[in-house]
Amino acid sequence: MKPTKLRWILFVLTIAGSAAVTAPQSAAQDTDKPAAAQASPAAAAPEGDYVGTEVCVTCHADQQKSFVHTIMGNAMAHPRTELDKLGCEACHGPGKAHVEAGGGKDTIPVRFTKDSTTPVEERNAACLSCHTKGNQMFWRGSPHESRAMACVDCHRVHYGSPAQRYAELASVDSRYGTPLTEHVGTKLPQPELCLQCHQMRRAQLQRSSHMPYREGKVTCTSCHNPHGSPNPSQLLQSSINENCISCHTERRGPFLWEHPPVMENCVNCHEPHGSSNPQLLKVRMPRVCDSCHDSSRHPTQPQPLGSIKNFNRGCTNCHSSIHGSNHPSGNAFLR
Amino acid sequence: MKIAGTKCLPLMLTLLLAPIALFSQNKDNDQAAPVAGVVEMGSRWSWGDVYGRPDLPFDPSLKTSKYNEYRDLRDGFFIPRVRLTMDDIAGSKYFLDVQSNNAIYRDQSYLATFGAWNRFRVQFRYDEIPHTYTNTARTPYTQTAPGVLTIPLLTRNSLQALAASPLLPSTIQTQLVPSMNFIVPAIERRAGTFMFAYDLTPDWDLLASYSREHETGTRPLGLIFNSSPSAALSGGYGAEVPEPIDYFNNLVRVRAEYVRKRWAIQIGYTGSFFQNNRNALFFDNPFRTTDCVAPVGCTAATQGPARGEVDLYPDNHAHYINVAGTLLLMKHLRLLFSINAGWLRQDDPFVPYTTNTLLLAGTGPLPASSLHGEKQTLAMNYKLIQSLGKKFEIKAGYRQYDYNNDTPVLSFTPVEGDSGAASLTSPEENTPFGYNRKNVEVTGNWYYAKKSSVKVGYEGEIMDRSNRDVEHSTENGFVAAIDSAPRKDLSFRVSYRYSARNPEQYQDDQAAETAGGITNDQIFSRRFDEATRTRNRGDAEIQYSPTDRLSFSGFAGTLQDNFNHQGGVNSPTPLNFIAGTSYPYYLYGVLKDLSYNAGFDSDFSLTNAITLFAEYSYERYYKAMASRYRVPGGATPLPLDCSAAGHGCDSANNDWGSTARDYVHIFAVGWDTHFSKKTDLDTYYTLSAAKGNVDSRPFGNPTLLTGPDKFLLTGTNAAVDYPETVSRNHQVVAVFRYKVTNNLTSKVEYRYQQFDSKDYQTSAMTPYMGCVSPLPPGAPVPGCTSPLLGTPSPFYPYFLVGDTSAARYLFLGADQPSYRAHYLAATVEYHF
Repeated sequence: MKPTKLRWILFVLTIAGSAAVTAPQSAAQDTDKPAAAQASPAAAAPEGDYVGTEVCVTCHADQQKSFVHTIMGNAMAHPRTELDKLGCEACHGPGKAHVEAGGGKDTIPVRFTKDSTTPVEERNAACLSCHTKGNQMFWRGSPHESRAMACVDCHRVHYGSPAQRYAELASVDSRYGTPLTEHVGTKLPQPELCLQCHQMRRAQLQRSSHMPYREGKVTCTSCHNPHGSPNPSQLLQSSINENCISCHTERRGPFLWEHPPVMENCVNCHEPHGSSNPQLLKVRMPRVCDSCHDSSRHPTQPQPLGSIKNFNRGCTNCHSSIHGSNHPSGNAFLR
Repeated sequence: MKIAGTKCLPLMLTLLLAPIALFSQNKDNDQAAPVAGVVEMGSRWSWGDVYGRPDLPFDPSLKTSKYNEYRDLRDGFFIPRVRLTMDDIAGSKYFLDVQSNNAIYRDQSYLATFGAWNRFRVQFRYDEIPHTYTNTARTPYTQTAPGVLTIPLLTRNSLQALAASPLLPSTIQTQLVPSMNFIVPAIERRAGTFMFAYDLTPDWDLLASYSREHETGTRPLGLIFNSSPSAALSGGYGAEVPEPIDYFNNLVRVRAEYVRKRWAIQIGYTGSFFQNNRNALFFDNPFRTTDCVAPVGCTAATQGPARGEVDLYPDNHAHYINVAGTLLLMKHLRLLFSINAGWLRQDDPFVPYTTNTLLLAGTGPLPASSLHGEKQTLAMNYKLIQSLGKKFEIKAGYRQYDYNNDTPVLSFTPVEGDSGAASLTSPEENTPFGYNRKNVEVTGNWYYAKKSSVKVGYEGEIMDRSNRDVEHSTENGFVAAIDSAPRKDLSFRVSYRYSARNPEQYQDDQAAETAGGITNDQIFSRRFDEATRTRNRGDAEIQYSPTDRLSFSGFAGTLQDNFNHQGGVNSPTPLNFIAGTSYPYYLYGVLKDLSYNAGFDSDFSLTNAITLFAEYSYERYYKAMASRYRVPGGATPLPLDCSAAGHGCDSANNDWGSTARDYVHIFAVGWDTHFSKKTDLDTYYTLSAAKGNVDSRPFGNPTLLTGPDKFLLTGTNAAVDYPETVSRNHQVVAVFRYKVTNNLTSKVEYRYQQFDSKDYQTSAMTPYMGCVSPLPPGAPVPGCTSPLLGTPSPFYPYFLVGDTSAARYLFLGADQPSYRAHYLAATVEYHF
């Protein structure tokens, strides 16, 4: 075959291949609308368009090196599904056109880097082709999905090895501790990762009254699922109280004498992300109690500064069982 | 406390590091390594001082100060972290991952995972979380048996002899307090979790976990022996005690998931079992050695029980069954659902009505031996997501949370405070509270350009409650948001929400009942979580990254709740005593709850070697409330007259208001410098500064000192401003790293922390706060004849560190004073 003909054939194949893989992509490129049932490019592509990981690594040895010891790299090295067996192309799409074009970013069906032109929903679809269970089950329709966030906005796949990444993350930011986790594929450790966008929470974590977030004993995902949950505020549990009570189980009750605002919503009185007031209170005592209790005598007094209702534990100097009492004489939460 | 794990150190290290010796190979980093990991170890020192309480006759320890609130930063050898991973153990498909944080200290964590890739995982996690409450506590109590706090009989005899004497305060202050034991109320959570996850097939996942947590220690608990602490030495005693904590939490989870192309389902069970090994706490009455009820053997001023009993949190358990899933109904229509049913149970045996043996005989029998408390919860969530072409999406969601309380209603004759006889003719019933919340949400998104969308929608809530003031309320609102990315380097979001909550009726039963001529509750008292409310919320965010070297993001937001609406369930006319006021209010309770915030965050790479960052945020919180000082009358309470003794008093002229304001500034600046490939330095400074003000003022006419509307907000009833509270946390950090070899990095870390706290509620706390006259110009404590005792708080020299109603109340003196701490750590980090 003459070289000219070969070039023409490669050219035609490249164009056809590129068109095949970019047609659906360009149609969606004008928006980043989340797809309700987007199939991954890999799963959707004809079988003949795959070249295999062995071909990819002939040029992309560095990428291979940064992937092979990751959790995904190891999982794909022991494939259980057809998708696993596709290796690089399971996420990046079929590589035939890319190979035939002799390389080039534009011929990679799905790219995840910062300069990627692949629409978010296609990038996410590549992840969701496997990650459909567990924490990711409610990704569709979640607030982060609705705001066209890509999985790779938070996650990194080519991170070397868990140990390397662990060491890197530990030195990224020494301002916050982070609980031990096997998930090292995030771009930053928690809570720093979440605080990049949720800056108000960053401010609240600095408060004098706080749960052990800064110390790395509790973190954002201790209460929230950023991938979406059917519950309010993407909480892990069905309600705010169930969330709080999952750690503070002693306050679950049922109690003989219950304080209804407590049983209905802990955040009626507390600010879980941090407060300048003692005990994470939204407003310090006695005003937090005065807000509701307008009966007679001492609950209705403004209270001078030196009052026992004011200093130390405030109202709970006496009404210490305020979260509920099981004492037969505990109707005023004194016992 | 000694380092409990010191003896285990060699064993721990052996376990953690042995696999390295067995499997690690000295390979080039580019090669696949069967074992990889990192070990960091070194030594650390903390020094500094707790300077916030020079008035105390001792120096609180830095190591038990707020500096170590949730940590264990003891000096000496430490192992900040270890991680070891083995991808393919001996060339097999099995892997092992072991890691630890702060090994051998009381804030240690371990996580070990073993499994076969794509097949199963077995995981063990162990965590310890300390929580130190205070380093200034002293108490006369010692725990002589589990759940029994006692004071030496000799001490109690002395106090009993002086219980109604003006000499009591000085005796407590000069003799009892100096002899008290120093304690550090602190708890420790130790939790172990075992988890097994098995991928039965690529579509089937199974997961089971068991977690057991032991929470032990003590924490401050305020208790009284009568229905109220003493008033001018005429009755009542109180004591703050170290509550013994000995909890077990057991958690069982089982979950199965099955996924197909168009649908997925998840079924799970969660069982949570709380066990309190201290069902009740007995605590000696410091001021009485025998049970006594006036007039036999004692007076009203000296009566009381010899000891009290508080029923600590009862054992409880809960079971939840969860079914959740997704289903692609049509090509572009997806259903998400979750149903979670729960059963909550509590059946701890009741303790007796009272420990006062003289009163116990006069109580009725308990209506049951235990509560048989039962609640059922049912959470249901359904969401439909419909894509309309490429650019539109509609979501419709329905959420219901049913909190159904089937706890039996029982009739009791409480003995409040172990001093007054039970009223057998007017028993009290418990009122099991339940609610049902339904939420509806319909939103539409228009994705008009890349990373740009417009969202509008409706949000509604229907709330039904039992045994609360508002049985039925509705809330309607709308939401609108714009996300825009006009340029690749610029994006912003603006969102707004509005909602209005309307109770159908506000029926406070206590407002319909009278005692002493006045209603038990103010008739226009409205609890903010049920009341009429309009809510406005606006947020804005911007992100700008003009170059790879510079990124900037800013935010601003406000949340404004307004409860002060005219009419509806509130008053149709202003409740102000003074007509024509410029600030009318239509309810008692919270009037407004406002918050504002704004800030920015910026990173800038000055050169390839130097990166700078700066952050700032400002928050302001404002809450306003209105209340009324009301006094029930005596035997002939009517007609209501605030100027006549024995008559009820319920006049708008004694209305008062209070505002709580908090201001918070957070500031951070720092830079990372990479001097060379081997050397880098990270430095930063952070400041969290908060101020709080609680101000109060009367709303009525203070000159009206006679007649039925007599102004009473004077003296101990005056509405006064409280001193400003200040909390500042400075931190300066410098971390220097030097890469000795490819595998070995040395690190020196220095931190300086300064915590400044001025809080009128705690900064003057000592074990005795009763009846201590202040220094001038502070006003004398009414009824207190004792001279100033002890040294006043340096932050509040004129603070009235006393209250006649605390004259017979022993506190722990719990405070978290200011401190300055230096921390230096030198470590080496070895990668293999």
